[in-house]
Amino acid sequence: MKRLKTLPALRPRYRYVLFQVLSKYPFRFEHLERAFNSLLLSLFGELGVSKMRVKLLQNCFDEGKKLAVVRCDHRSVFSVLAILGLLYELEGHACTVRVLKISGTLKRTKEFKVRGE
Amino acid sequence: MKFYDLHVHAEVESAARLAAQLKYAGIGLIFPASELRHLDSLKERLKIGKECGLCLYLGFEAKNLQELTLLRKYRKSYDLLVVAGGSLALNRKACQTAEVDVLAHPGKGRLDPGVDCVAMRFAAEHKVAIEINFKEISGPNRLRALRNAREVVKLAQKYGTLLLLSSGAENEWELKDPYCMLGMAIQIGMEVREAKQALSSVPERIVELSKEKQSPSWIMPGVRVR
Repeated sequence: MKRLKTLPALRPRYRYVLFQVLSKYPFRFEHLERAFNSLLLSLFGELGVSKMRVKLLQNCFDEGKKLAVVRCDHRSVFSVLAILGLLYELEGHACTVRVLKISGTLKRTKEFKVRGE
Repeated sequence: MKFYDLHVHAEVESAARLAAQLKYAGIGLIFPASELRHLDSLKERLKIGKECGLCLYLGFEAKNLQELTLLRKYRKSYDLLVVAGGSLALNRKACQTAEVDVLAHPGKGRLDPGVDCVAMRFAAEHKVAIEINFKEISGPNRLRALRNAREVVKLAQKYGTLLLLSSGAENEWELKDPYCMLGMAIQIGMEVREAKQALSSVPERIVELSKEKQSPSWIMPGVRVR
């Protein structure tokens, strides 16, 4: 699909939040996405979520290390962090989230992930 | 920046390990007042903190006025005195008592925030920190908890009361990343600077004040031997 042209000044400024889910049990991307989206909708509603431009990136998900990246608008980083704090259960198993890195480019986030800091 | 969580009920070893993973500098492990009998064994168990590289503080929780009176009597032998709020009389008494370090979840099970402007003024005067409990917010009554927390923040900003953010974790999985707590604090009306202080400098100050209370020269609020 052809992408629409946008003026550079109107381009959204994204932030990428790299986080690790600390849990004893394995889980798939779909489980995380379902839990994350339902929390988003329940806390901010459809209108709020539409303004946040938030998306959990499937191609950055690491099932072994339980690492995931969420992309959002630069103004809604704290809202995304609040949502991650509310994530306490995945498929019936207790879990908690550890925020590793907040970056302005996906490249830096991936570099951080590879270095394993 | 060093982050602290001064209200954790979880099992000592597992909580300490997970808190170290979440990059906390220290956590306060709070026990019920009935555990005051096992004070020495509890102090022994807290030595695991050195292995994990974080400071563990021992605290007790008063759930009613009788327990508060008992815990005040032995204030010098432990680090933190937390009052589990909920009733108006207990909330007001906690705010008026200088031995108390933290008034936890003042609006628990209530429709209102549990503290009014008078209580807030007393809390500011006696340096009692008012806690915003993350467990309340992530629980089933989220709407009410968020509304109450917002009210507490507004009152604390007006009267200059110390605000403290804590997880209130009952097991290790309920411990929260400090940045997630920061995010939620900003959602309930705190400034970024205030939210950072509520997780770092306010807990540090509470521990400092508590150490003062534990020193042999301290007799009671306002009375000190030179």
